[in-house]
Amino acid sequence: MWRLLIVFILLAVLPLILAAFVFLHNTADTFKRFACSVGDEMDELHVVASNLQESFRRKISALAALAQEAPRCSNARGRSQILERALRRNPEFSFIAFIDARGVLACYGGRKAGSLPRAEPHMAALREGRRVRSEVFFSSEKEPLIDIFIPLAGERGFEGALVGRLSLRALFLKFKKVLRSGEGNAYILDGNGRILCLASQALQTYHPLSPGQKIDLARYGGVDLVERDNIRFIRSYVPFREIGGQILWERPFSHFGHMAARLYYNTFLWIALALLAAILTGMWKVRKIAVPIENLTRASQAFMKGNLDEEIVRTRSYSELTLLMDSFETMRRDLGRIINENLDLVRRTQEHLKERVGELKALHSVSEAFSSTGSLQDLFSLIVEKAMTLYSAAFCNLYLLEAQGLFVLQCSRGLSSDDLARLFANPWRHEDPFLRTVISAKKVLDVGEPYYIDSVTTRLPMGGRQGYCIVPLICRGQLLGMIEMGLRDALPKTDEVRELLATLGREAGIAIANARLYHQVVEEKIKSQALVQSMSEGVLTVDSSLRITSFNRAAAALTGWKEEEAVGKFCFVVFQGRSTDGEIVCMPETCSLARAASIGEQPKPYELTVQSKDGVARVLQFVPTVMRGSGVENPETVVIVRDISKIRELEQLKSEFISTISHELKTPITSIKGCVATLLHPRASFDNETTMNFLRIISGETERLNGLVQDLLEAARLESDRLVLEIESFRVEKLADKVLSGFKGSEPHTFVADLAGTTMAWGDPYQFEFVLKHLLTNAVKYSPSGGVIEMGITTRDEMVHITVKDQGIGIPAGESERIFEMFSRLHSGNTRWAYGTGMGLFLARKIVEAQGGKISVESVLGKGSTFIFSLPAAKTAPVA
Amino acid sequence: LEKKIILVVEDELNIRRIIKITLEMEGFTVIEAQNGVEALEMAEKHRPHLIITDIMMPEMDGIQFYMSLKEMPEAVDTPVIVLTAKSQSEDVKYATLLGVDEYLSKPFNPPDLVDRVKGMLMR
Repeated sequence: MWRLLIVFILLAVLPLILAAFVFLHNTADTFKRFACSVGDEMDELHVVASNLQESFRRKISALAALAQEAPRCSNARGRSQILERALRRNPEFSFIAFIDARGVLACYGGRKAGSLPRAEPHMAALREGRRVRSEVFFSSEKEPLIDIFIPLAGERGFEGALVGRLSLRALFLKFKKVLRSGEGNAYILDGNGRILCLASQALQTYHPLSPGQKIDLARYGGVDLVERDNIRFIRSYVPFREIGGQILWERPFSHFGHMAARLYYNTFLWIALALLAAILTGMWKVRKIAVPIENLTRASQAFMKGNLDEEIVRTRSYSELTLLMDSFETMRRDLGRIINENLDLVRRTQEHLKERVGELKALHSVSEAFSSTGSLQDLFSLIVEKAMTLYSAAFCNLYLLEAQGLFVLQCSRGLSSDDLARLFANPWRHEDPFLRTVISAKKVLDVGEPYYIDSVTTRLPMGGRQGYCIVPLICRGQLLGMIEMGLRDALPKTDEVRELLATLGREAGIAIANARLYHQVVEEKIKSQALVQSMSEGVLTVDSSLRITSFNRAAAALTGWKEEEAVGKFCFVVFQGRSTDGEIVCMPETCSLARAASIGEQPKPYELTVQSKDGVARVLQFVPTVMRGSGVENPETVVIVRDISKIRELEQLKSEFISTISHELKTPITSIKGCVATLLHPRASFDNETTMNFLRIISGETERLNGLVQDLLEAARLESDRLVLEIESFRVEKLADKVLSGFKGSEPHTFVADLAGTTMAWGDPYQFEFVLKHLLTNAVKYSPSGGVIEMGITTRDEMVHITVKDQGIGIPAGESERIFEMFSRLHSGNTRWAYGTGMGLFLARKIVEAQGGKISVESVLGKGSTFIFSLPAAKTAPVA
Repeated sequence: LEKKIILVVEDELNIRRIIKITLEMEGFTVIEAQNGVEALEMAEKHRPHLIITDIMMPEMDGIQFYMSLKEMPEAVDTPVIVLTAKSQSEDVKYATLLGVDEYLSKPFNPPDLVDRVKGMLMR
């Protein structure tokens, strides 16, 4: 009995498999149809819409053609015949009529008009020769109508118009068959969503809306889902541009429910059928075995009972046994065949799977290797090698598509040097038709034996090769290049192989694009880093927590912090900036960067005094910019740091200079003004001597003013490097004597100088006088309590050295260089040690250096100073 | 204005002379000093009724002089006119801050100076 059951089950399996296959096929098909349904019907709707629009246009053209034809026929009868003919041809027009130039209906043909066309609002446009159409309106039968006016132009200009009344419903219903409106409703809507007409065959089923009703326009074009009258509808809209409206197709959702029900029913039916078939087949087979067994059983029972019926036992048993054996034999054969077939299938599937897994593994290793390779050239060789091992190729070449549309060889393996030479001698030509195919196809091209492709056979050793294929390298749909392979064995012509090759191409393409991008990014990064590093201004970036994230060389030089020390530190730790009052303001609580960041504003530039690590205090200007890009969550701030100490110092000097110069200018002016005012005083009467004294004062002060202005001009000229020197050789003592004579009588100073020598020097005599005079003036100025002022002239190393030594207040150590700078004077507040602009020594140094000499000072504070300047010595005596 | 003594503190000889002549024409007695140090001595010795002083001077400047002067009990009430040459208002600001009675900026008109002197002595 068990055996019977097994046989039964085995026999039932076959029909079940068959039924399952048919069922799956059927279900898939139904599903596909289900999925396509909406799309299909949208397409249909689009067809209807474009047909409708086309039809609408055709009707207007028909009317326009009539308008061309009509004026040629002058009499009324002829015209009405034309109209009748036109109406027969275009039954969608309910009437066509002529209007004369005044807008009065002249000739009329067709069905009853209902209302007459209103031409008056359109006359102006018609006179300009424009075609006009009215708004859509409804007839008394709720038929959507539209009047179309075509101007008639005759020999005398505007002769009136032709008007046709077009029924939109007539147009629409023409396409009713195409539109499967039996399962839904279709409408024409105007621009405001008013229903103009309706095409529906199942009026009762889906509650169609009636013309004139308005619906909420959810959209213009596209698909939409609404619920109305307890029915859910899918609505598709397609624009109907001719009337500025749209076509709406409304399909109840239950329509898709029907499809689902059909699906369910199909499934059930097929399963039932399969079961029935299985049972019937099984029963038939079982019966074939069971009947002989039953007969044999009956025979043996009869035999045991002694009810021997010779015939029954012998003949029946024998024939039944034969039958049974035959049946078993057939069954054995069938089962064996089925099992064998199945085993074979399983084996083949296993092999196939093994193959696929191997390929996938190879591909995986390829993509892994691709993504881990650094340089492009390495990547090329890797791609080529992997491709060769995957397909046991004889050779493999990789080309990249250059900008000019040319494939340039990047890497080659498996070719002999002669073959390579041949390859280089015959590069891909731009106009090669095969190449063009490659470019346009972007697919794996398996050419087999390409003995007919010149560009392959001339370039490559194809003799004896079993296959040749091209794999495009593609990234994001863009062709980057290709791999060409010569194969030892022809590729199997299966989809899997193609797919695998295409995947290889895609993986390689992505890897190449990535590598290129990576190189580009690295290059850009290096470039921008170099740019930032080489900037003369300090540049640093600060993150939102005020930590420094980058720090360039100039910033390092300004602060004395090394880049690696500064990065990661808080910026206020590195800078410790102070205000001009010396108070530390660089703190997280007072940081303007932090404040600006917290309120989301761009911070303003600010200045801080910063002491660098090596102890130099600098005034630094900080110009911060927050990098707010899209998608940047914690924006960094770029801070440009400039050293403006020099500018601030100059500004300070400048303001001091202005203050000094105004004092220097005002002092003589005060004297002059005072003298003049006193002389001009109405009640004044002075004797001659007093008047002369006043005039002398005026003259002296004028001289002083003149000297000051001269100094200023000289300084300005020196600043702009326009110093003009007239170099000649002169006797130093002679000029020194001249200068010294100007200082006669300046008590309480005593001048000591040996002027007997004949030292000759090269230089500008005028400038020499200027410098010496200035040094002597300084000596007088800075020794207020008088003393000896000594002047010496010596020649050493072909230079004439002139020294001016005083016994004055001296110069503090550290000031001896600064005094030669512009506008600088000894600092002592308002205390005025000397009258002067602070330009004299600056001028002197410039002048002396321009003549090839040097000027310097040695001084002891409180004891006096010695100024030394030199000029080149001249050997020959001047011509007397 | 019976023989009022006026002390002129000014390092510029010419200006000093002009002020002296101008004031003497008005009948004042004028005594002179070249700088703050000298002026302090003169003020102590002659007890002037009014002092005219420059600001920028060697040895001791006008501001220092003014401050030292106001420390002397006998000179606390002596009116002082400050002559300023620096164009910046900074000086003026400083002078006003110190409580200087009057200031006159250079170049000044001698009659103006006389008017100021007279005005201050009348107070």
